[in-house]
Amino acid sequence: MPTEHSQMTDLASLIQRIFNRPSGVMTRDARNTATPVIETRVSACRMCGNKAWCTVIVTIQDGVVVKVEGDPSNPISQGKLCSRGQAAIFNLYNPYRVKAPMRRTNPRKGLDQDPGWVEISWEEALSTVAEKLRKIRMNDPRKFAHMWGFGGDWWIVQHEAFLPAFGTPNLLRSHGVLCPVHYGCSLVQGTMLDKQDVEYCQYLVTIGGSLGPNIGSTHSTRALSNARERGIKLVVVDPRCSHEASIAHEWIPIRPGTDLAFVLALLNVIINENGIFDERFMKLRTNAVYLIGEDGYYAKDSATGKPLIWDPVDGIAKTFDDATIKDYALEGRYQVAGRTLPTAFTLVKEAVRQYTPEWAESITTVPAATTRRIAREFVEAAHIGETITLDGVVFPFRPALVKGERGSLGKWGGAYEHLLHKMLNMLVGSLDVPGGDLGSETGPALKPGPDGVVMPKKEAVPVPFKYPPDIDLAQFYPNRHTLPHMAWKVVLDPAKYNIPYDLEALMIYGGNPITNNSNPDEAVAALCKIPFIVNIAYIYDEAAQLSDILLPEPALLERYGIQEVGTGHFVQAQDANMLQITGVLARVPVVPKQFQTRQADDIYLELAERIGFLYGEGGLNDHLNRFWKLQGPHMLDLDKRYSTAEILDRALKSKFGVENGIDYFHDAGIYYKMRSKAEAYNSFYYPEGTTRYAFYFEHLLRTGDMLRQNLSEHNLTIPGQDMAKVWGFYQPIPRWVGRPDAAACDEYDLFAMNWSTPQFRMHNSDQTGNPLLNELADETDPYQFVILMNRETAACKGLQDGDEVRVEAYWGGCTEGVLRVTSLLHPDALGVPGNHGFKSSFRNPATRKGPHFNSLLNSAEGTFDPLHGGIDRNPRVKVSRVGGKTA
Amino acid sequence: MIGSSAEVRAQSQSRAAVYGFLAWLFLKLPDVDFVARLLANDVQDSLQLFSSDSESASRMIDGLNGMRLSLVDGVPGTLEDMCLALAVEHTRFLRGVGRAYGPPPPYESLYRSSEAGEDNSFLLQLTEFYHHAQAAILSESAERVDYLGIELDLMRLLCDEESRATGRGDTIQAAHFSRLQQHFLHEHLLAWAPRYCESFISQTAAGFYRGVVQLVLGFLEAEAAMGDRHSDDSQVLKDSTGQVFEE
Repeated sequence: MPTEHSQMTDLASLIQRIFNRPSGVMTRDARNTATPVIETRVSACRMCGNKAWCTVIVTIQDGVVVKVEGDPSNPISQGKLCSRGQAAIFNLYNPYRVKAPMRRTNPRKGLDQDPGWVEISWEEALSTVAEKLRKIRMNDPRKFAHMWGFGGDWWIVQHEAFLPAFGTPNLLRSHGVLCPVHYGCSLVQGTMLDKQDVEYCQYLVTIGGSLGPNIGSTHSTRALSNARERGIKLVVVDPRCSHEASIAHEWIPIRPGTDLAFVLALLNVIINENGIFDERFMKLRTNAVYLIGEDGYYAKDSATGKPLIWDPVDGIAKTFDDATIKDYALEGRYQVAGRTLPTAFTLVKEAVRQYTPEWAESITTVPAATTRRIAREFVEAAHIGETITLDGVVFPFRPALVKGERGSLGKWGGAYEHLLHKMLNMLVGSLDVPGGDLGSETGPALKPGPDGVVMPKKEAVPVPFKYPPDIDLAQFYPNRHTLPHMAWKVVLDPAKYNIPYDLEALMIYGGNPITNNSNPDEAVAALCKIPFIVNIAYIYDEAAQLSDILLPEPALLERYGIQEVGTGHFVQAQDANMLQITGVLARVPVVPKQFQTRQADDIYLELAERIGFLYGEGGLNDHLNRFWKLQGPHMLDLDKRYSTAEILDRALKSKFGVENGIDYFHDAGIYYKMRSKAEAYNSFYYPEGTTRYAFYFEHLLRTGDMLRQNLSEHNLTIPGQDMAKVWGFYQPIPRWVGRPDAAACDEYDLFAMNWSTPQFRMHNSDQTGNPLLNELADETDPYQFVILMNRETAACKGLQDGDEVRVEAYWGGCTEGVLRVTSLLHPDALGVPGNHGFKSSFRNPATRKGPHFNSLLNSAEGTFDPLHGGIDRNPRVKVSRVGGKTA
Repeated sequence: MIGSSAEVRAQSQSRAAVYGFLAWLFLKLPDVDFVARLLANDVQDSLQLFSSDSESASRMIDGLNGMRLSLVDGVPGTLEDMCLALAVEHTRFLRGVGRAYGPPPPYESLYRSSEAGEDNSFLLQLTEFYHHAQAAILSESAERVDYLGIELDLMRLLCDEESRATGRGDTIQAAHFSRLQQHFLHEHLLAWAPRYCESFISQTAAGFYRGVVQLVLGFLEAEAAMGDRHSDDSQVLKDSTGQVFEE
C-alpha cells in the first residue's frame, strides 16, 4: 500500500507530466520589505453620478485603501462626505467588476442568454474593435453610434471630440429621459441648470424635487439646514412627504403628474386675482411689455426691425431700447399703424385666466384656498421694492422663489412647467438676484439677442434641421434633452423614421440604457438587433450582457478625472461659499490598478490611432484642442500621441489656469478662487437696462414654426406623432396639456411616482450592488425596495402591508414588489422609489431586490413631452395582489 | 517524521509543482498543449492506476478525472473548441460575473467577510504577509492579493524557496520558508479556500472547473493533514534543526 506521501509525490509527477510550466506570477523581491506605511492621498469623488464638487481624503495602509472621508480643505464640502462617497472603498474592491477584456462567444443575445464571455488580451480586444469601426468609418460613419451615461462623466477625451473626429453625428445618452430639467433655464436664463440662493432666500416653494437632503447632497443639505435655522420658510409640493417635506413649514400633497395645473393656478391668482407683483421688474427686465402681432410674434419697427413697446406717457409705440421711453405699458391693446397690438403681458394674463384655483383643485386635489394662500405668501415674502448691497453693488433683494425638479419638470408638460416657474419668479423679480432663482453659470449667460431678450442658450437652441435626421431624431425634437427611446425605435424600424441606414455598431460608456430608461423591453430588442456592441464596462450590467466586447475600466480611485466647479447637477440649494467659489476638481489615481483595466480616455485615444483619425487636422487631437480650448504652449501637437494624463495636464494649465497642472492635484483635489459676492449673480454682469428675460416665449413659437416649415419642405410629419398635439407644445404661452394617459381605463386608478434615495442617487459606481450602501438603506429607510401606497387607499382595496403586489401600467409595463402602506403619500399615488429590481439574472442579486420603476414608463410617441423629450413619470397604474385579482 | 534533505527537497518540489499547477488554472486560460496532454492516453492510464485510502488523494484523483472527463464527454470538436469552452467556463466560474451566474469568485475577503468586500482587513493582512515573505506579484498579473490563484502561487513560491534553500544546505532559510508556508496555509488559505471549494462543488454540476476545485480541495486537505504533522515536527525543527536537516 503506498504511503500518503508517496501518493502525493506520484500525483505531483503526474501533474508535472500534464503541466510543465515552472514560473508563476509571484516572485521574490527583496525590495518588497517595506515596513507598513500609512499615507493619505487626496482625490475627487464622484460616487453619486452628480457633479457635486466633493473632494476626499483617502487613507491607504500598505497599499490598501482603508478609509475614504471628507476633505476639510475643500471650502464647498467642508470635510463632509455622503454615504456614497464613504462607500467608495467597495467601488474599488468590488469583486464583481469586469477584470479583463471579454469577448462574447454566444451569438444569441437577450437577457436570458449567457454571453459566454471569454477573457481576451487587450491587443485582441482593441484590434477587434478598431477593425470593425475602421470598416464602418470607411463605408458610412453614421452607422456607428456612441452612447454615454453618467457613469462615464468626468472624462478627459470627451465624446464631443471623439465623435466628430470619427465622423458620426450619432451621439446617444442613456440617461436623461427622466431628467430634462434644462429647457426653462436655457431659454430664460441662458444656463444649463438653475440653483437656489438659500443664503438669502426666505420663502421657497419646491415642487417635485429636492434641494439637496432627499438625495443626500452634502453641501446643499448643509446650506438648506443653515437657511432653515435662519428662518427660511419652506413649502414642499410633493405627493410624498419626503425628508425635505418633513422639515418644511408646509407639505402640500398633490396628485402625481398634475403640478402643471397648480402652477398655472398660482400664476393666474397673482396676475388676475391679486394683481400684486414686481411691476418694475416686469417692465424693465422682461419682454412682457413687448407688443405682439396677430401672428404671435413681436410687433417690430419697420425701419429698425426692433420689437416695439408702448409708451403710455407719449402715447406712441417705440422700439424697446428707445432712449426717450418715459414709461412702459404693461397691459392693454394699442393702435400701431392701423393694427391693434396687445402687450405680451396682456396675452399671458388673458390666457391664464381660465386656470382658476378651483379648476386646479379638480385636477391636483390641492384646495383652492391653499393655492390662493401660497400665491399671496409668495409675493409678500419677495420684499418687492427692497434692495441689498453686496460688495458695494446694489441689487434688488427678492428672497422668494419657486423651484421645480425632475418630479415636476422632467415629464409630459414639464418644459411648460419649467417656463411657468420662471414666470412666477419673474413676477416677484427674483431671477438672478440675491435670494432668488439663479442660473448655474455666471458671466455672459444673460447676453441679449438683437431683440433685447436673453439669447436662448444650451438646450433652448434648436438642433439645426437636416434630413435624414440622426438616429435619435433630434432634428424632429430640436429642444430635446435626450432621446434614447427614439433611437431604439429607429434601430428597430429605420425606414419608418426616415433613416436610410441600419446601425452597425454601438459603443457604450458609463450607461445602462435598459434599466435607466423607459420601456426596457424595447431597449433590449434594439440592442439585440445591433450587430456589434462594444462596452467600456465596470460591471456586468444589462447593457454589458448584450455587448460583444467588454473593455474594463478602472474604479474611481484608480483613474483620472476633471470637473469644473460651478456647473453641474444636484447642488441646488447654495450658500454664499458655494456661490462664490470658482475652480476645478481633478483626480489622479491614488492606488495602482487592481485588474487589467484601462482608463476610458486611453481607450478612445488608442482606437483613434488604430482606426486612423487621431492625427492631423480634423483628427481627435485637433478636436481636443478645440474642446478644451487649449492655448499656446498647451495645445496638442496634431501629430503626436499623448497620454490621458498629459491631456489633463494641458487642460488644467490652459483652460483653468492651474499653474502646476496635474502636479497640483497630487496634493489637492480642488483648485479654486473666491470671487466677490456680487460676481455670483448674473444681474451683476447684466443689470437693469441691459437685458430682458422672456416672459412671453416668442422663441418657442419660432422654433415650432421653423420645424413645421422644415418638415413641410420634405413633405414630412414626425413619425408616430399627432402633429396637432405637437404644435400645442410650441406655443408662446404655457398652457395645460392634459395627461397623456387620459384615455386609460378607469381600473388604472393610481398614478405611479418615483424618487431618488440618498444611497442610490444614480447608478454609476454600482451603487445598487454596493453592500455598504445596501446595509445603510436597509437599516435607515423602511421605504426603500418596496411599493408604497396610502394607508386608506390600501384599506379600500383590501391590501395590507407586506402583500406581494403586481403593478401594471395602462400601456402594459409592469413590476412587482412588496407593499408598504403609509400615511405619508397622496391617496392617488403609488410610490416606487429608487431604481431597483434590475433585469439581468447575471447581476449581483443585491441589485435585483425591489421593484423596477422604469418598467412602468411608456416611451410611445404621444406620451412624452415633444419639447424636451421627457417621459411621463406618472403613468396610471393598477395594483393587484400577486396571484390574486385586481385590488 | 521528516526524512533526509533530499526527501524534504523532493517533497517541496512536488508541492511547488502542484501549487503552481493549481495557481495556473486559476490565473490563466487552458491552452491547446495542456488540453492535449490531459487527454493523452498515458494520463488516462495513470489515473486509472491510482487507488488510495486517503480521502484527500481520492478527491484529487476524482478532480483530475473530472477535468479530463469534462473534455472527453463535453464539447465535441477540436482542441481549440475545447479551449474556448474552457475559457467560457473560466470566466463564468472564476471571474465574478455575478452571483447568480456562478459561485462567488475566489477572493479571500469575500469569503471571510459577512458581506462582499465589506471587510478589506484581509487585504491588509495579506499585503503585510507578502512584505514579510519578500514576495511580490509580477506587474503583468493584475489581480488582487487575495485571489485564490495568487495565494496558491505564493505557496508555490515558498515551496520553491524551501526546496532551493534545502538544496544548498541552508537549513535556516529552509525552515524559515517552511514556517512561512505553515503560517500562510493556516492563517489564510485553509481559513477560506476549502469553504469556497465546497460551496463551488455544491453549486455546480460536473465540469472542468468543478474538477479543478475538487483537486484544490483534496490537495488542501492533504496539506492540512501534513501541516498538522508538520506542526508536531516543527517543534523538533526548532529544537534540533541541524540534526534533522544534516545530510
